[in-house]
Amino acid sequence: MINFDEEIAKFQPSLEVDQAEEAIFNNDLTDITDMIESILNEKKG
Amino acid sequence: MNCPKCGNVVAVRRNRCEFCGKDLTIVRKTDRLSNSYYNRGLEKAKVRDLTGAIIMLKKSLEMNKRNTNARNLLGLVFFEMGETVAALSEWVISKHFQAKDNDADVYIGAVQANPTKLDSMNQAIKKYNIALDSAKQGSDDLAIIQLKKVINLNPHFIRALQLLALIYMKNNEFERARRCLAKANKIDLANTTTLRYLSELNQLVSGGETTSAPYWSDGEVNSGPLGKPLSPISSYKEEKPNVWLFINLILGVVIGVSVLFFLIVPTVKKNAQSEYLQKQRDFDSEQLVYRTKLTSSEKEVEDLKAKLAEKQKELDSIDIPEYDKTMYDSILSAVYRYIELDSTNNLTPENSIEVADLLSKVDPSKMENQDAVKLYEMVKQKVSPIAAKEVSQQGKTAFNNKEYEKALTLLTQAYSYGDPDDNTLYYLGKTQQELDQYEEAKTYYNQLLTDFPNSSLAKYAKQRLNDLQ
Repeated sequence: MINFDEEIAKFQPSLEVDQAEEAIFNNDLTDITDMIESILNEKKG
Repeated sequence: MNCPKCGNVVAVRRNRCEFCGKDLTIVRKTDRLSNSYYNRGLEKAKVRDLTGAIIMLKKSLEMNKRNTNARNLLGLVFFEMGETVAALSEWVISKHFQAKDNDADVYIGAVQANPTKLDSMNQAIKKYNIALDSAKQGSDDLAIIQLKKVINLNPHFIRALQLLALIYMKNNEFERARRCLAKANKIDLANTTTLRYLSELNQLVSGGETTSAPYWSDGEVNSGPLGKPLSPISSYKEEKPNVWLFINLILGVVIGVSVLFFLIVPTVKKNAQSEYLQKQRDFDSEQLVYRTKLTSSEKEVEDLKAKLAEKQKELDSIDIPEYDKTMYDSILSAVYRYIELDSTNNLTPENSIEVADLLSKVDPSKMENQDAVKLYEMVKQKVSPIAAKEVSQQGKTAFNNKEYEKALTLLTQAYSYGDPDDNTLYYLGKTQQELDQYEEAKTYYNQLLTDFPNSSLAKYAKQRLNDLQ
């Protein structure tokens, strides 16, 4: 059975167009390559 | 591929960058994984499993953030699901990593080219947020109104459709909820939320009994969320051109043309021919009628012309006497003179001659007024015998005096008064004879013999006639 309140809580507000710039800037563009690089750099350092 | 450190192009088989010496083994492996995830994401996207495609593409980007193809496809999937801002974000980031020869330029350009559409999508997002707040606060009616507007503005907004379906289900409007979920399912076939709600809907409709298994139960494909069996989705294959289609088409055209020439055209020709013949017959009969009419009309014209000529002849033969105005003046003068003389008892033979002369100027045949004619006759009867006798006597006297010309004038005058007696005729004949006018003399002698056969002068006239012959 669906709990309507729980389900409604799962819905998040959608970003508006003028908020897109902020969203892009805050986007985490780290991939596995970057993570491996950072691990390797930590090891060296 | 490009070296992630220095950006130079490295040959495919080399595991180390020639320019900076970076070890590319891991990079190559992650690239391969990223591409693999991208391929799987593409397959899912092709079959409209957008939720699955997002998962695969995000994994692909986790392996290689510079995988432009994966990022662009992810943007497209977001756009298809109505997530405009997320789509634009991915495309902008894609442009950041690859500024040139990037399909993201086309996608961004297409969105920016229609500012109205972009604005309507933005409005849809705002209304969705308002609707979500209303739903969280328990204002279901307001939320429904807003969500309907959102769907009008952006029919592909899956989250709006799902939220609306949820609210409908909460308010026991199952049919409407089903319609919303069907729309959402059409856009994204394997959306978990949509499928879950559909399953719940089926349970609610059937009275709480679990009549249908979930969509993805044990990996087997059961009957679809709407209770209808889904056909397995086969891979895309290009359709081969069907030769038989063209052959059938040509055959059909040939048969059609043959039917036209062998059946329809002869019938049409025959109909046209018979129509023409009928028209010709009608025309001939009409012509005959007109000819007959014409002949009878011509005959009638000839008859009328003949009648006209006849009438014209009659008309010409009629001598209409000219109306002489002075004629009535003469008779009036004569009547007036007679009355004057008669009333004064002066109607002597000499005066009678005067009146008779006046009367001699009148031609009673030309008089139209019958009263005038009667008057003329009356006066003539009174005065003419007296005047004729007197003038005749004067003529005899002139004859006896051998004044033959004078005698002829007087006797002719007496004759003109009308009703000459035997003496006047005899002396007229003698005078004419004396003047060597024998034919005229014969005429007077004959008249004497005709009018006065018992006269004493008849035998003398007869004798003179014999002498003349």
